Amino acid sequence: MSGWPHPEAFLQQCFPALSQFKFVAKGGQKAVYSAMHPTAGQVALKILSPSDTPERFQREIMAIQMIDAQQVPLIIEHGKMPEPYEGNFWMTEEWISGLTLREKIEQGPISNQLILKVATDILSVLIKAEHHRIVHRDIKPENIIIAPDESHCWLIDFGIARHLDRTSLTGLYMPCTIGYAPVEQLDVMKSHIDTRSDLFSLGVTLYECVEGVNPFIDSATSLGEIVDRIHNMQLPRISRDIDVKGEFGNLLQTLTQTRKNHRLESAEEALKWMNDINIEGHVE
Amino acid sequence: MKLYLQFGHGMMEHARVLSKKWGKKTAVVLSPRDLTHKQLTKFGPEMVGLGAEVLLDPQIYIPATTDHVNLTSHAYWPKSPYFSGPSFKKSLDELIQLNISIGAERIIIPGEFATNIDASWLKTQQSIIHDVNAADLEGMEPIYTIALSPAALINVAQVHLLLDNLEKWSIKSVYLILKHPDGNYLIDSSMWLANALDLAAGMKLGGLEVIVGYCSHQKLILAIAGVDAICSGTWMNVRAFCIEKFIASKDMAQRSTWYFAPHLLSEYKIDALDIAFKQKVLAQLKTPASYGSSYADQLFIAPQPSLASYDEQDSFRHYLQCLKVQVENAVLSTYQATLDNQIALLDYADTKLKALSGLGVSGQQRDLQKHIIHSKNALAVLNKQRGAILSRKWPL
Repeated sequence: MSGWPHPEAFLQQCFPALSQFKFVAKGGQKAVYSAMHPTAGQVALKILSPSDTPERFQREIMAIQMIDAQQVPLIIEHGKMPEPYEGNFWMTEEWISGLTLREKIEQGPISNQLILKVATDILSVLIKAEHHRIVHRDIKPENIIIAPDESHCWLIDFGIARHLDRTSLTGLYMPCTIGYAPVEQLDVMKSHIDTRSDLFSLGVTLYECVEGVNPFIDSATSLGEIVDRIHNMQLPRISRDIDVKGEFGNLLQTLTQTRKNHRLESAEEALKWMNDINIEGHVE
Repeated sequence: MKLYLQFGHGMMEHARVLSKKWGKKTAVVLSPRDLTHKQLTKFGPEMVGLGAEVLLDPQIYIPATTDHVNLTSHAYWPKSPYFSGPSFKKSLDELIQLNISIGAERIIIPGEFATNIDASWLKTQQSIIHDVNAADLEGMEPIYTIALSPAALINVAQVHLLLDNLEKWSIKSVYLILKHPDGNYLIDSSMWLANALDLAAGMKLGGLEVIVGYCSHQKLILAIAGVDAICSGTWMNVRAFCIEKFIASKDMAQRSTWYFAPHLLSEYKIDALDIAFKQKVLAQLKTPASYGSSYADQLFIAPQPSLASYDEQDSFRHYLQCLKVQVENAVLSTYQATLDNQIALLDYADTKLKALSGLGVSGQQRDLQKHIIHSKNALAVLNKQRGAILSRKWPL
């Protein structure tokens, strides 16, 4: 297969049950199209790059299916491309519309209510992931989608998720996004990765929602400088209270500790904390 | 927080007397170095009969170099390289029997003194846990010894390597032994204290019971890490872990009579009290009545302190009585209240000690004044790194 996006005729030939293909984006190792499914309605069709490993794609599917959370787009179907494109995998997912959290941050200040919503919803996903010993490993504003009415948010892209009981597929390196990944990911300490790594990334993401900048990245002149900051800098306390009691600031301080042993032990603990914060309510 | 009486030389009578005051709150950690088999098996049940909790520190920290004859003559002492294989199992069996004989309901499992926390030491600890899990402890719950050198404790990476491994070990209780830097009685390293707090808090947050052995009043700040108990005793070598005391040629006794002013967190020789008397500030050193100790009252009634018949026995009992009250009052209903209380104690002592020092009244090497800053630094570090979690989970 050559050329991205794929020609519509080609897609129609490969996926006769789908219609109205529309190229959406090419990101990472896959191309994404909008299409109409005969029963599910609008879906996202994702076609894996031939350069990616099928094992990774299968693990992504497995992770999403095991987690089975409302805040993760549902997989409708998946399979292999037909001859002569054997080896290229595809899946159709529930269509979600909205802006990425990155786009929301760029648009301007995010409401306290939405910040607490994002924290609560993503922690709900992480609890399910934790239960199945799955770590997302790439939580960042680009991978969180906010519904237009801000009533819902989704965590997407489990492309580098890791099942902790399965063999690593990445050898001596560890995929991650520098600026959001914790020390143990940057240092490729694979046996040290667990939910607390995702909690760190979520903490940085939420910090950015509050302050509009990620201090690990802001004004850095090189990747090395960002890595150095992640190792040696503690995020400052957020400059304003999000909730009535100011507990959200404490939670973020705890999630973003450099040493994972200083963070909360589990997503469950973090969500309990968030639930207590939600009871008290956000600052208007 | 609870106080265990850490046994050393000549402790039995002190424990008997204090247990009459303390009743069922008495807890002791017996020392095979200082008690024969016959003494252990007689005294242990005697204390149990008085309602006390009895533990035994097996003191197998550096078996290869330990040659203190009192210690190595016990039946459980290993005859060959230790901590794995048949030698450990045989020793453990003997230790189980000894613990049963002394009336212990829980057994302290030996642990190798870690010069560094590395793969080799971690493997040894795991091997110990494995063997203990396979053994019949006769219903006794195991308390695992974790003994660390100052070099290991001040190394952040090593401390966190230990914490990471503790998450994987199936243990519930730890007897934590932390050797002081440079063998000093009082600790003059903020980093040592900060990592001690961090390690203890990490253990507690991980759900472990933590009993810290060989402590002086300087370690009252461990309350902020939520530790369950500290152990202290009479001589310096039971208030600060001293590996040399298990080596015959390095075992040196230093005798001096000291007076502990608990509200100043400092100890004074009688000569210093005489100076305080001469400077008309002796009353400032008097222990408040709330500590429930009358052992040192005579120092403040006599024409001058050195004319009182205050002796070593009074000194030790006064120290332990006061420390027990401090230990039991160290943990308050919230983390913040506990932290504020510790800082207030340190600040109060700091102000008073500076003033006394200006008048020539000094506790010399047992005066906490120069060390208070290290305790405060350590509290600040812990608060920054773990304060929010501790606050949320308090009491641990």
